[in-house]
Amino acid sequence: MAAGIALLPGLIPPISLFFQVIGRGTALAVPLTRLLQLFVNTLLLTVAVTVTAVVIGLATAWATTRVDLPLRRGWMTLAALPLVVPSYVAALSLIAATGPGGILLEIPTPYGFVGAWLVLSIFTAPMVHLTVIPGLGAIDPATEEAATGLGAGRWKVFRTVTLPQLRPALVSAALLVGLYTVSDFGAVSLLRYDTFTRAIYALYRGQIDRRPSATLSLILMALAILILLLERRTRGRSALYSKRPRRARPLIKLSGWRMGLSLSLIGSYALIALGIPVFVMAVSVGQGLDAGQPLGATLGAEAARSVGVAVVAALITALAAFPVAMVTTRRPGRLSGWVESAVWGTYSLPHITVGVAAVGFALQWARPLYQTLIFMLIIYVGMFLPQTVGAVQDSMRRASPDLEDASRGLGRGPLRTLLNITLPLAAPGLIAGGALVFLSAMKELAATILLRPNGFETLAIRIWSSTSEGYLTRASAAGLVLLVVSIVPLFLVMNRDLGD
Amino acid sequence: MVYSGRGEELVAPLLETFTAETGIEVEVRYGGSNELAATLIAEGEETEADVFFAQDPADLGSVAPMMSVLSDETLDLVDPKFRDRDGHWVGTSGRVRVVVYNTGTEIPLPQTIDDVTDPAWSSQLGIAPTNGSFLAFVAAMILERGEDGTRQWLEALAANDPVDFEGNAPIVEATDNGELEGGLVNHYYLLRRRAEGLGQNAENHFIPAGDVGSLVMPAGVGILSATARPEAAQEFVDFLLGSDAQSFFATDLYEYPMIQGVDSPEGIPALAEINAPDIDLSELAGVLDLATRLVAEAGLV
Repeated sequence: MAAGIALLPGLIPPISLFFQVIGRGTALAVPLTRLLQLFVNTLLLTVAVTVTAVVIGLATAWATTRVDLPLRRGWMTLAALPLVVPSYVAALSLIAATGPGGILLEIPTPYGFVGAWLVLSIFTAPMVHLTVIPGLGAIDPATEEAATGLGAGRWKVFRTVTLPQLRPALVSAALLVGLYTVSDFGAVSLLRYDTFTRAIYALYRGQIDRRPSATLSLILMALAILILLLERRTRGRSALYSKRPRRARPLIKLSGWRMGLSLSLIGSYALIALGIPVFVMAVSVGQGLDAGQPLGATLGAEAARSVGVAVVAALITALAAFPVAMVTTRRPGRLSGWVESAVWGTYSLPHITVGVAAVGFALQWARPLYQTLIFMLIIYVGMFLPQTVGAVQDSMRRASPDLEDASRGLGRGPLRTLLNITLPLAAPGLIAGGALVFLSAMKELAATILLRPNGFETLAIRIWSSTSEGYLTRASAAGLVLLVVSIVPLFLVMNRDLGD
Repeated sequence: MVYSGRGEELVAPLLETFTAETGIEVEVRYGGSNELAATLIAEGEETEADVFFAQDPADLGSVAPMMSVLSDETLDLVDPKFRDRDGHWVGTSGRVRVVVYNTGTEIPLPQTIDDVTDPAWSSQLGIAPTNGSFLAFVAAMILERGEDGTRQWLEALAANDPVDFEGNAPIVEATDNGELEGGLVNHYYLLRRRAEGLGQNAENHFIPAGDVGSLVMPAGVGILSATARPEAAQEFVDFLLGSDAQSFFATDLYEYPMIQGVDSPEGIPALAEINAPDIDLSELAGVLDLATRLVAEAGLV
């Protein structure tokens, strides 16, 4: 029941899209051969980005949960932060940093597939990082110690013991990255790689008739569901929980060159993913100030709005994810499978589609909600729910239902069991998932522009409007503020018990 | 309530002056010009908007049926070329299509818009095919030379391997940096770049042939007929066409003023010196969907 309610927001955009197309006839502005090409392009990029982001994210998660790094929590936070960089800002930074007259490297800017692949991989890796951390922490140390005791080396233990237990978390993370790649517009458009989403945006901008863009969006959603079905076939269903009480695991002490290597790897990731955008934006702010450009007096108010909305969105999305994860892990079956697919459908849509569809829905069926903060937050829940569901599911799969049964056997009611037993077990996943939603909501642009109340300008909107008018100084200043104000809430959350 | 398809960067200072001068408090909804046009159509009579301040004539045209007719006094301030035939909207400042080029280029500058499909420009011309201005320019071409002629031009352009960008500003940047020889943009992006202390290696070229290559696309304004505050809306329109706002457009935004007696931005030819095409901007909205389809069919998006 609660799970059903939690899923409703995610159903609004697809339903509204169907109504835009059905009854008024479909219309396809893009020729079929072109469509096929876009399909192949999208699929290639999705696969490449997913694989790369999983490798990067798994490495940063493992190093910051398992290794005795100096300032470990700081690194853990830093490795999550690149997610808050809007993909068009990331792409602009790459373009500004390279090419002739580039301010960092005089190499040709990698346009096309390579550029889109690099940018999306680097900036979506935190999705893997955050989704995998609770899982890494929850693995029973005994299984790994047993393997080590039997003479397996560290790499072999990781490959044969750790990795298989992380598989569900990795699959969730891979889906998050893959379907985000399908929906991304900023990176592919700036780096000139033609995907479905770019065509959809072009149609929204150039046509008053909404049918072609709605039709194309529905095709894109079908592609996403295809990916989901493939995933379902490959997913293992083994129990992951341990029957023993949880105990702390000693951190791996690395010495000498190994520690140096770990630090320099994670350091170079942070340097590329955060250093380049920060440097590029700082240079632009400096140049602008020299030329007497103002920085924008409203940045403080915009930052407050962005943080406020993102925190609330993270809280209610985590709240909504909890019942969904309960149903899908505790009562797996056909119905729960459908429930899960529904959660992902909206996630794969380009955000402009979500925004337009939601506006259509509100105007037709929920007029009082139109352009209210509440409705915007409801749609955020619909868009970001998968980011929390995956992490919470993973935490729940690692907690034996025996604990809940025992609690009820000892005479506690279902509600008290839920609050005292299940919720704490799910906490690491809720925290990690909440952090993901926070970062995603901070940078959300296309749907926010359409759904926000009047005058509700956010940092992401400021960056976009300044960039598109060619005012680089103000855009960069807002970009720097976006990064800075994201660090504190993120660090506070990451300092909680993530299970590590 | 103003629905503004023009960016906050440009409009916010203007609205402050308006409120200071008239005492009328203004709420604004900023957004993409095309998105706001679509939003207005979806909202219909129930819209809270009093005026629509849009980026280009195509967006204004699609909302024109929802707009009241402006008074002759207002309309007469502006050249008939830059306002709606039926008086639903009026231009407030002029944006001109140009070819921005790197000052070191050895490619002959185009004399007509067909010259940019010359092999000399192969892989050297930046375009922004998903941008509203480019689409409005294509729509104007449909009015000028028909659907087939436009399709031929787009196919010739596509065959010449143009370099796709997301907007005008990055084309100007790439041209300035020497990555590109030139590109199809609006005139003011280079001037704004210079205001940031850059842009010394690029220059604007106004195509002299009198074709859509030097199309003038006014930003403009219209009053929604559903407004509950027609007087305040009228004051806002008058304000935009007053000499203060017109000077602001020219000096701060580098756009062409629409009324007599206010000077064009410095360093570019006056509006009267530009050989603009003779098309009826009121008809632009009617062919915008077709323009987008032709651009898609040519493989440019």
